[in-house]
Amino acid sequence: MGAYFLRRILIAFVVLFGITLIAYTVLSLAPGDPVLARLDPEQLSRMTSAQVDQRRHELGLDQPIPIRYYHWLADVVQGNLGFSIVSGRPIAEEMGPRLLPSLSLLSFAVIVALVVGLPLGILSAVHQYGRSDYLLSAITIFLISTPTFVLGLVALYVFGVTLRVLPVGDLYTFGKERDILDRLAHLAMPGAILGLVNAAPLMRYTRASMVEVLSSDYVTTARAKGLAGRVVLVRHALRNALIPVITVLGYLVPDLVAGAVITETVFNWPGLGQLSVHAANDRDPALLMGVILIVGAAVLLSSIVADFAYSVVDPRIRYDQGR
Amino acid sequence: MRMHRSIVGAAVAVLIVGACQGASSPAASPSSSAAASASAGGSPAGSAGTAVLRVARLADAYNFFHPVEFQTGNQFQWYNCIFDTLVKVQDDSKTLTDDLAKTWDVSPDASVYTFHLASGVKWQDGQPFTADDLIYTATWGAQNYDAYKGFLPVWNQLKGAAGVLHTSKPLPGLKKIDDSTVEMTLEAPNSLFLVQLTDAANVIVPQHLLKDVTAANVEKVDFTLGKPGATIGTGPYKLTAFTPDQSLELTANPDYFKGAPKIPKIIFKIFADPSLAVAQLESGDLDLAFRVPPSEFDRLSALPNLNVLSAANPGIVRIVFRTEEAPWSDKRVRQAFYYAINRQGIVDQYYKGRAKVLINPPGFKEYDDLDKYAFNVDKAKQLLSDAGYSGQTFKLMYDQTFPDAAQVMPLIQADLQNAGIKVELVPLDTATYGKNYGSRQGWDGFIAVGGSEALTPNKSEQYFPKDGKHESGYTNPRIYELWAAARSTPDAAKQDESYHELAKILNEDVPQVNLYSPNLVMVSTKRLDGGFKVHLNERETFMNVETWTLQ
Amino acid sequence: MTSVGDTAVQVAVAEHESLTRQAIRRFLRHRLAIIGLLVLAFVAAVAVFLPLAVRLDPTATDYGAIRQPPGPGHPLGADQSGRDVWARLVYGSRISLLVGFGAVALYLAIGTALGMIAGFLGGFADQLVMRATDTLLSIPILLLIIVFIAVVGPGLTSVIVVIALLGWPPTTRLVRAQLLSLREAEFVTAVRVVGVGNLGIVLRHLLPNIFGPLTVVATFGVAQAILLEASLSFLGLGVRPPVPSLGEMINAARAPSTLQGLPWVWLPPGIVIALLVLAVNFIGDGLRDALDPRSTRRA
Repeated sequence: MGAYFLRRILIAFVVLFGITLIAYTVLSLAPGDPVLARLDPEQLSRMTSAQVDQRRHELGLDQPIPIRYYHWLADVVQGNLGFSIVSGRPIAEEMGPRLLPSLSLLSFAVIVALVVGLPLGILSAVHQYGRSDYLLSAITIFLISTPTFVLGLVALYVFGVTLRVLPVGDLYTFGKERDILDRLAHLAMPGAILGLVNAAPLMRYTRASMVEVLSSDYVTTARAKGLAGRVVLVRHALRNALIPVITVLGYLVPDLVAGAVITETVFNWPGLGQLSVHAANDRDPALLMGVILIVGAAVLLSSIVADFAYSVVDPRIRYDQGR
Repeated sequence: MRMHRSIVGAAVAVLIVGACQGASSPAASPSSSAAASASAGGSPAGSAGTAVLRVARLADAYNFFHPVEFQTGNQFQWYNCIFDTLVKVQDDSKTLTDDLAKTWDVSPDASVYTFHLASGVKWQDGQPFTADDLIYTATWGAQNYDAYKGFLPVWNQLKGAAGVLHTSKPLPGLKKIDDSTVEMTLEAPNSLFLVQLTDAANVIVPQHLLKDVTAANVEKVDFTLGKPGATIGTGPYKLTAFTPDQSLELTANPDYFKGAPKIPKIIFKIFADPSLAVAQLESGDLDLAFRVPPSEFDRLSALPNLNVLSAANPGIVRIVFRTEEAPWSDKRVRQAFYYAINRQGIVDQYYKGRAKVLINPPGFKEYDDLDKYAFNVDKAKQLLSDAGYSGQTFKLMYDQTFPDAAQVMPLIQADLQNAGIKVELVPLDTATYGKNYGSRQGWDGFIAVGGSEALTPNKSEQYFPKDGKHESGYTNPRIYELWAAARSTPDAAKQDESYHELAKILNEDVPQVNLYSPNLVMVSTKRLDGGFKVHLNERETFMNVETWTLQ
Repeated sequence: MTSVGDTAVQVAVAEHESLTRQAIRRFLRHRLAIIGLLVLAFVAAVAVFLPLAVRLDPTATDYGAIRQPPGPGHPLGADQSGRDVWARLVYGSRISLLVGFGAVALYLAIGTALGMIAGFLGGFADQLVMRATDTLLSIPILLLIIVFIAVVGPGLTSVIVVIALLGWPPTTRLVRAQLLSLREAEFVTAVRVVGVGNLGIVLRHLLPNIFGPLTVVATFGVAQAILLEASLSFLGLGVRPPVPSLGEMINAARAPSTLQGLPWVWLPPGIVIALLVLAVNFIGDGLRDALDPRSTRRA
């Protein structure tokens, strides 16, 4: 088992390497002289072309892309992620304060997705084809189909401005940094929107998994043995149905991260998602690389964790037995 | 089930850790403490009696604190809190008041100024402020004049300033009489020198902290980057936290020489999207906002807790041409643009009257004998065919974040196309726009928005740089003569003569098409009182911030 | 051997045909899928054919119509530049459908080609393709798209090409899996003995087998692509004006005065996107249920 996960982690590094290489190559292929992105236009207008060439050489921008990528990688390993061309600040400093806000948003969203998606999925499965099942299906599909930003905007105005029950934007109220309730109130809307949108696929998957389990042989056997419905449900069906759901949770992380980009933009939540949109708008290559690196690593890590969780929960899974 | 609970447990743990971001404040490295105390909001039901003023100015901001760096009106507001200038102005943006200079004498020909500095002024780190700091600031400013990236300071007007450029020689026109008296002699008489001094590019910076700073390394020192404890001024507020592109926290300076400020803390919030600022004004999470989109005026005016002001704005939205390139080099083509665009329509229908049609660069009077270029598509077509315009595409670039860009640009493009001019709109992000503007690449014309500080025609000279390598590239030697002539006399009538002729020249040659001037909407909570008043040039509003009160 | 192989092929072919008919029948019973199909067909018909019949100009500005609510001359009102919302809705839908189907068609081609390369050549080529597939599937697609768009610049072609360049992995996986299982199938060995070339096998047996699952993947892909275009245009990284886009129309709602005061500007595009994606999702559901022999859905 250990060997399997060691291999997974190594593969994850390789994949991360691949992603960053692709991203770096693409960013380097941007039209225009890369020197212009690194030099101040005022300075540039005063430099002779020999000086510009020298600067280009100093910055290593005249070398082939693989070598430049190697330098970038070497820098990263030493902890230097480069500088933002817009603010001039180190990337780590730009990204640092945004990590926890994004993390707390995602965590809240996961909790919402689980709390809403799981029970409703189970409910749908138990009452399959009943009225509640159709209703929930309809709501689910509605949530999946409506763009997140539309839901976010409407929520912002109904709950934030018109009804004034929840604060609008920001992380916390000034003066109340340590007030957990205050922070939760600020987290509520963005987290709920992100969570609900991802609760929908979770609900569908749970329902499908549950339905399959409920019609399986051992459940029928248990019922035939005379066990009460609820006992059957909880002790046998639930545990087995939830196993594949855990892997789905792992796959949900990329969707959550993508959704966070939109949610953070709509609610002005100062996280990595909002940062990546700024970086794209500003065409800031170092910042984009930093975001790809961190987000890529986080997503890969979560899929490994999900696999690990899966293996612990399901005794039938043993990864080290070949196939 | 176990694993399911564990996942939830882990998620909750992360959530709580995230919530405790502020609580677990690690040993203060400036950026993390900035992160912890920045980015604040308000309580849902609207704050009642907090001691914090939350402000936003809905225009672009840059993240630097040394006047040599590129700045915009946002930074000027910050500078006015943290630093001082020699003199300030009142809310009419004209009447002078004292600041670091308690009194001053002006020679009759307006070329020698003697400043008597205020006493008891201390830098925020405790060091005393003396004439040396003023000498240092002015000398450094003249020595490194061409390093100034944004608004330019006045220091190059001092006698001998050209000679000290790029040297470390002292400035001849600057004389220290004693520790609290300084005399400045100008290269050429300038009756507007004192008003120009109020511009925040002329804030006085501490010699004891910056004496080893050069133009090459100024961008990297903590003072410039905005670190609490390093960014020190003499002003009413100290910088206590700064998160770039997000927020700025200022705390009252109890030793301020004009008296301790009454509002303990000010938070400047930076919004990427003005809509959120508007929402926060409504919900009570924002107390003061400048340059709110005019389309929100009606809704906000209806709210009971806000004062909403719609002020005429000397700043103008205009199209600047690349005048050296055909066919835009033919002034008939440029005049055609004027006739083609229904500027009155934009003002009446889009802005619902909360804007004005102006035909001059910022600050000029609308003289009666100027051509109004009233909307006339036929005349436009006529001019185009006279000039031999044969369908070349006009690449019009603009910063896509400029307010109302998405709604107004289609109107402009449609009008021009109706007159037969082929227009390609090039919306750009701020960084690329700035780059193209500086390098003069990628456009035949660009949209400029600004000049709201121009309450006199004098300030518009900056839009016509003499080297012809910036802005429109239009350089008519006569216009510089006229501007200098206006400056050299304190006689208002003579000044007006010069400006009148200037206006006529620009009106006919059309290096820029002046489209319209949108009103500026400022919103403040009714709890803000005391000396608070929005200045005519709203960037200067914080010049008397120490007198404001907040219930 | 030959006769057994022949029969096996015939049985396979016969089973296959009735399976198709069964699938179609199951699909037709899926009420929501039928509704979805009708909605999609209706929207597509309007988007594609209406501009040919009626004069609609999504970019014509009109000072007199600025912010006009629905009424004569403008059935859905006009936006802040006096442009007709209905016209923009129709053209915007065109763009959404164009991006949706265009990007998916493109990545179906790319994905199938790559899947076949991986499946046929095996070895290093296979490893390379599979690693690339895994890599792309590991990262949230929106983030990668943002990076690409930052480089190539926003625009209609950029959006289509970028979505296609990043969306092929599920197709490749499907095609490759089918190819691999096909190689194992006995009748293939049999047919090869008879002398039918590799390509012949592929064309005759692979394609019909993957057609079903591919349609499902493609359908959900179309929904995803439509949402991606809307999101990108909302973020300002998508289609560039003056090309109308439903996402960009909704962007106007970020201004409070538009959200509350001009609902006709953003609600219609919001509804249309939701309807389109809904419809396509229903169709996808129907297809998936129809093609899944283990489906427990009651007819």
